[in-house]
Amino acid sequence: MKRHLLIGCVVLVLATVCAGALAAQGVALTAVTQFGFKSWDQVWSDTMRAWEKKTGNTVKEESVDWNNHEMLVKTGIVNGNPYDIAFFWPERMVEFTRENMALDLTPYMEANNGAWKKMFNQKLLNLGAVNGHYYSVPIHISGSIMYYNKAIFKKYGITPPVTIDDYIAAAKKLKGTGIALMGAKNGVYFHITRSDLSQSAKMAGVFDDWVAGKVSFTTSPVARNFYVKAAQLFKDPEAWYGGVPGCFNLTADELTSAYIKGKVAMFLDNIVLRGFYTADTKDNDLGITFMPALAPDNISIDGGANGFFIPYNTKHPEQAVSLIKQFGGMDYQMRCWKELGIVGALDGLPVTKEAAAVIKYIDPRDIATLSPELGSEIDRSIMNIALGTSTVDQELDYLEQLRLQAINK
Amino acid sequence: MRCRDLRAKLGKLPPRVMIVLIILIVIYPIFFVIQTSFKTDEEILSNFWGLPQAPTLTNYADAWVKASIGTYFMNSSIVVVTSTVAIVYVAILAAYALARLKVRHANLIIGVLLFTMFLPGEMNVLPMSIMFSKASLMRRYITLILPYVAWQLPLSTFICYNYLLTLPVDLIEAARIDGRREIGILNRVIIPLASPPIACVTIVMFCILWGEYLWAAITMQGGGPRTLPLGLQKFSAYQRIAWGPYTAAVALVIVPLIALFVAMQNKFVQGLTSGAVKG
Amino acid sequence: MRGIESVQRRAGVVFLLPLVVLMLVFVVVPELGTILLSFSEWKGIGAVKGNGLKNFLQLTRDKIFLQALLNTVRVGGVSALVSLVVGLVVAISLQSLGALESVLYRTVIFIPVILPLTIVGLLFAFVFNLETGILNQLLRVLGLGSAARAWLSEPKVAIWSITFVEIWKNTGLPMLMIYASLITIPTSIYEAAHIDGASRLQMIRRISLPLTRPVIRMSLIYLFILGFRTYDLIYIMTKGGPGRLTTTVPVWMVETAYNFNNFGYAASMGVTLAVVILALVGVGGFALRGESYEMS
Repeated sequence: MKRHLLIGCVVLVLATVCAGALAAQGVALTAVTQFGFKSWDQVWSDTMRAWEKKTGNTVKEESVDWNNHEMLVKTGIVNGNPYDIAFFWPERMVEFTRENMALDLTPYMEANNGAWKKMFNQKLLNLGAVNGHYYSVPIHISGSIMYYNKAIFKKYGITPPVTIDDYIAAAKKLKGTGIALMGAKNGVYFHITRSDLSQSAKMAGVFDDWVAGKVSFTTSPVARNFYVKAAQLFKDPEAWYGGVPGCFNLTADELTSAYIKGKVAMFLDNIVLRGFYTADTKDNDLGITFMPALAPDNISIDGGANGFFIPYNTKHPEQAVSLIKQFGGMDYQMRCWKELGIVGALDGLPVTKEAAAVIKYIDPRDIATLSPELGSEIDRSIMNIALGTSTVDQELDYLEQLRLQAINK
Repeated sequence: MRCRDLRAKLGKLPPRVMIVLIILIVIYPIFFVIQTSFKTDEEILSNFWGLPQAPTLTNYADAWVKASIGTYFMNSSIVVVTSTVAIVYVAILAAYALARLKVRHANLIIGVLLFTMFLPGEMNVLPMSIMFSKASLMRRYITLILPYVAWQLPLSTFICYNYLLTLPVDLIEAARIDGRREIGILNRVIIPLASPPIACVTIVMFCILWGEYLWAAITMQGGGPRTLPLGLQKFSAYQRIAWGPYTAAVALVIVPLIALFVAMQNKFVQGLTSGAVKG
Repeated sequence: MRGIESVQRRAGVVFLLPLVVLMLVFVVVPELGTILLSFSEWKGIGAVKGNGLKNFLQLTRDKIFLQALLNTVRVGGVSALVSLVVGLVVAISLQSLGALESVLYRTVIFIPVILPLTIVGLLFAFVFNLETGILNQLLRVLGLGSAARAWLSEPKVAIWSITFVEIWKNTGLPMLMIYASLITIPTSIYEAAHIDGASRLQMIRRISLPLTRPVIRMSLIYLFILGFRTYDLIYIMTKGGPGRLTTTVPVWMVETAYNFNNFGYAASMGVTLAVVILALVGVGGFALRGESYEMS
């Protein structure tokens, strides 16, 4: 009985393998994104189907979650079975270009007198340029902002905060109301650290040296100024949803749920998700302001765009470029704008006031990209201080150690 | 006599209370999955713990039609059933050889098997995928089944080996005197007697393989028999979860599994008790 | 006699063949590769460069690794022991209940084992939430409001919350394995003991425990392996944070390998973890040693 079952299974497997081999025909591309089931899905799949119809090729689209994304893309490239186009953030392309894992798109950009290149908002396009070569194509702008509940702000007489001091003052106004000032989902809080470190370097007039890793964490005041100031805000249990200093260990859903229930007045997330949040919170008038800054006239936003890149070892580079062009096309970009409120990356698209400000303040140059190890620890440093598991001095010593390692490599 | 009955009944009370408590802790999340699958997206975020106010079936339609959970379910079933059957047979073959057939260096082999269980699999995945890619073995059923079988063999063999050591030798000797060949002894004598470890291995392996994500995600990039854990990814978008369709899909997957588990389990328990009476 | 033995031995070799071939190709070779890699430097692309013991020396100075190792031992060790004890107690209790009742309980307790890890992680994020989490609400209802806390964010609590989820998820396995072994013990043994005037506790200590010892040992080893490899759950619930509070070796290893492209160093973490688990399993096995009983 068991043996029959075994033989049956083996036959079934062989049959399916053969059927699979026969079915393959034409050029089949694969794409990996992070946009699964929600409203985005329709726009994406329509765009891909339109391209299939136009070119006669096929695309298989896979949506994977944030946690596994980078690992899957990298493993695919290393084992020689890459996705043909992969979603990634242009400003972080150095993680792939460092080991030459991305296809150089400059020839395509420069063809026909740079016709393709000229279509983009140049600032966004340049996010994905490394040493003068283009490795990534931006499709939407992306930048971290704070969303806030206008009704709560009005009720308690709070004006949208910008500086760290504003935030501390706003938290005081909400004291004892059962409403926390803000929250940040897992894995995005670090945008505050990254942005403010850049600001601090700009204020000290050493930004170029800072991003090149030439400024010390311990002896120069750049980092110390930020950490001492930010620790005040991050250690304040009243400011944070969760009531724990710097409580950031929330899933996106937990935070949205708390926001809907009026338990938290503002939260940090990407501007690209505005459409999601508007739909989820049924609030068509979500307020938008900047992350806590060091000074009001000195705002800097790390990050930049969502985009696609092509692994260097794809088997169909021409088709992959053509598919990306479909996403860079006006049709897709306009639909994103109209249906999802997402600002695209082409020149001449309608832009909201907030999005314009985000583009204005975006600065992709960031010391955290000096080495992934340094980036990872910068991301976690403020939390270690807020939780009291280490002091400002200990964190600075450790980051300095990683900086030296990074520049001596 | 009556007094003893009462005492016996009372004696069963504390275990029952304890188990019911444990069950409450365990069952709530399952109840939660089911109730959430009938809520709309908005309701989930505003009324996370409560019962659905206006139950809807759209989540099930979404999970079945848009995300074609049925296809993923089929793929998973083929891969997992084939692998589990293969694991059980290869493991019992090896365990019989190691426990009762006087193979040289049996202890050494067991030692090596045990050792291989302890290296974290995450590290082997990249070199393995390079190996499979070079052999043009990506995106097939075989790509999943062969490694699944191999990875789970040490534990399965060890479970069977431990059990076979406790089986009386006379049974095997009697069968040998009857003139049966070793493979016949295994199939007709050992396997029927070894239902406890077989039940154990089947259930444990089924569950482990049913949830395997990493290897499947890497080798099924862009096609092939994509399994359920990959299909469920469809419901996450930019760190957000589409709770409604996601829980509906999980319910669709869990209910047949539970049914299978109950059915199988009963059979095993019958087999076990009858074996014990004979023993 | 010699002839029979050699026939048996030959059959044994044939029976072992499938196992040996599969293990060699898919387990032993890749693992030897990992061990070699742990003595080298490799960026994922390009040549593998040997660098002797450098990785292991670096590990002893890697603060995050040491913290992660401690966390791993906490999660793995505690969750394995608690799951085992709870599973054992439940299995023994089930034995005294009616058939239908016991099938029902067994099934329910086993369900978490089949639930996908993603949903377990997301669900418990909500259970542990400070404001809306069901755990804190329950505590407040019971008048224990002062015990309510941010279970996944506080330095002393976060790692134990994860351990709890691990226990919740795994307890069904030892329960079922031990139960399956318990019911093979012939009732005649218990009856004899009962006639000799043994109490229930004595029967458990003298009959149930010794006779299921191999299965208990097996379950413990397996729970250790599961617990020490905790990765997905942590990644979904906390991403190893806040700070590094809930980072375990697998989390730090995957980050080192796939985010930092530092595969050699990551391999040395894997090998070190394997040695640590092996040592702990050795201790566990030693504690549960004892002659094996033959059923007759």
